[in-house]
Amino acid sequence: MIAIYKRELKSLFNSMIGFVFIALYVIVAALYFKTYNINYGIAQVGFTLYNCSWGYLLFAILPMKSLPEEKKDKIDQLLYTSPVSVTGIIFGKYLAMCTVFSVAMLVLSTFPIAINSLGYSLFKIDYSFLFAYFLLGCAYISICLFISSLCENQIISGVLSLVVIFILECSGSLASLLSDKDYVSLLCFIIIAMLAGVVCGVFSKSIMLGFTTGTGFSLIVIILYIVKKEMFTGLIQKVLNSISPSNYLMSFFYYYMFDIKAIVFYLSLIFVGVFLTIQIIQKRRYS
Amino acid sequence: MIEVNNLVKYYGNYPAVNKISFSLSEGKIYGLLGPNGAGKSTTMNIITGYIGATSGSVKINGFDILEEPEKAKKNIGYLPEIPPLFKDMTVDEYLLFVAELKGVKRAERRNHVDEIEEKTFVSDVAYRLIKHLSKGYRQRVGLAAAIISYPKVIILDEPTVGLDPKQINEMRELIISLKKNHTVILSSHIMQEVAAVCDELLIISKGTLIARGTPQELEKLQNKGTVITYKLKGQKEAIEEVIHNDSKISSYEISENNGHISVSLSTSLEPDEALERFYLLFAEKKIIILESNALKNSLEDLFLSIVSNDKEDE
Repeated sequence: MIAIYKRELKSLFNSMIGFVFIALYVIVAALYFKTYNINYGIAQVGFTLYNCSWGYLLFAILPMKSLPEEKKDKIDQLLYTSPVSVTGIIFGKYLAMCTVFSVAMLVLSTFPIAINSLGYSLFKIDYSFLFAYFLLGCAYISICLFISSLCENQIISGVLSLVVIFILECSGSLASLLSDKDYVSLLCFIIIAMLAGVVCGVFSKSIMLGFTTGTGFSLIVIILYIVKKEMFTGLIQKVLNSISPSNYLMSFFYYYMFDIKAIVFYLSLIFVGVFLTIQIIQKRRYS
Repeated sequence: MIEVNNLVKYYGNYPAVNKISFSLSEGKIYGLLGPNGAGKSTTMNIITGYIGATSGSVKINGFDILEEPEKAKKNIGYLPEIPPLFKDMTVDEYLLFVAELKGVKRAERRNHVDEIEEKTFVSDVAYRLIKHLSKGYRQRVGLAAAIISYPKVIILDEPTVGLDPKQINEMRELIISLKKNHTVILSSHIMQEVAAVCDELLIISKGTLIARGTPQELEKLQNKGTVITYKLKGQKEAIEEVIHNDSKISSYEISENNGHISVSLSTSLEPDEALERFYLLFAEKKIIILESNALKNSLEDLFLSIVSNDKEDE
C-alpha cells in the first residue's frame, strides 16, 4: 500500500494535476478570504469557505486520471497481479489524493492566524470547522474516485464527477425551490426511481434489469404513498437537505457547534465511496 | 508448482476457457501454444490472479489464487502481452517501485534492482523515461519487472511480439537463462520460438487443452513423419501398384500433368530411408524419377493439423 501511495502521489505531481489543484484551490479560497475576511471584516474562516462552494468542483480533477488511465493502458495488470490486496491498492491511491488536498488545507489553515494578526480570531471554532471541511473534501474525493472507477476515459470521469458534485451542492438550494405538498414528493421520488432504473440499465447493459428496477422502485413509492400519504409532506426537502454534504458545515460556523452528525456523515461517505470503488474493481475482475 | 483444475471462464455465453486442467513442475520452460483467441491469455490472466475464473481452481506453490491471493502472487512474475509500464517514470524508478510492491526489503532493494537491470540489459537506459524507450527496451523492462524478487513462476504472454530478429534472439537467451531457477510459462503462436525455447508444450484451441508433451513427443504423435513429392515418368498403373503394395505409405495423392506424373506421399519413415526405399521400388518397375523432394513434418505442421482437426470436428 505504501508503494502505491508514493507512486500515486508522485504521479499526481508529475502530471501537474496536484499542482493545478492546490494552486486553484488556494487562489479561490484566498479570493474569498480577501473579500469576506479582509474587506468585510468577518472574523470567521467558516463563513468564507462555506460560501466558496464552487471550489468543491475542483475535487473532480484529483481522481479523474488514475483509475481510467490504468484501465485503458492495462497497467492495472501489474497492480492486480502483485502481492497487494485491491483494498490496499485503492486505499493507497485514495490517501495520496487526500494528501494533495491536505497541502491545500495546510495553506488554508493559516487563515485564522492571519485574521488573528488583524484583530482576534475564534481559533477553536475555525479549526474545528477546518477539520470538518477537510473531511468534506475527503468525502468528495472518495465519491469522485468511485465515479472514476466506472469510467475508461478520464474526461468522462471528470465531467461525471463535476455533475455529481454540482447536483449534491445544489440539492439544498433545490429543496427550497420545491413545494412541500405530498404529491410533489411523490413525483420527485418516481423521477428518482426512473433515473435509478436508467443507471442500472446502462451499467448492467440490460434493458430488462433497468426497466424492472425503475418500475419496481416506482411501485414501492406509489404503494407507500397510498398507505402513508402524510409521510410524503415535505419529504423531498428533507432528503435533498440531508444529502448535501456542505449543509452539515453550517452548524460549525453558524451555531458554533462541533457537529458529530456531520463528522459521522462525512466518514460514512468516505467509507461508502472507497468500499464501492473496491467492489467495482473486484466485480470487473470476477465477471 | 502450478496446479490448474477444471478451469472454466465464460465471457457472457462464450467459453473462453473450457475445463482446462494441467500441472507444471519446477525448473522447466512450458509453452502455451494456440491460435489467436484460443484462450492462452485468459488462462494466463487467471493463473496470475488478474481475472477470476467462472469455476475451477489454480494453485501456485500450494497456495490457492482465490483463497490466499497474496501468498500465491508472491510466487508469480507476470509479463502481459502489452508490458504494464508507467510511462512517466524512469526505468530505475519503475523497477524500484515494482520491487517495493513485491515486498523486496528496503535495504536490499537498490542492489536487487541493479542486478535485475544488468541481467535484462537495461542498465544503459536506467535513467531514461519509459515513454522515450523503443518497443524492444520496453519489453525488456517488462521482463525485468516480472523477474523482480525472483518469483518461482514466471509467466510471459507472447514475449517476442513486435521485436526485431536480434531482439527476439536476445529475449530467447534471457528466457532460457531463467530456466535454472524458475518455472517459466510462455505463450506464443510462433512455432520456431516454442520449439527453440520450451521443454514442454501445451496446445490450446478454443479454450480446451488438446495436446501436451515435449516437442519431440508431439512430433511423434503424427503418423505422417515425412512427406515426399515426386515428378515421375512411367506407367500410371505401375506407379499406383508400387504405392498400393507398400505398407509404409500412410496416404498419397497422384495426378497426371503434361506427360509426367506427380505424386505426393506420406510415410512414417525418416526422409533418407524413405528416398532410398522408393528409389529401389520405382527402379524395379522401370519408373524414372525426374524430381524428388522429401520434407520432414515439423512441429508447425503438427500444430496446424491439430488445430485444423479441431475445426473439422466442430
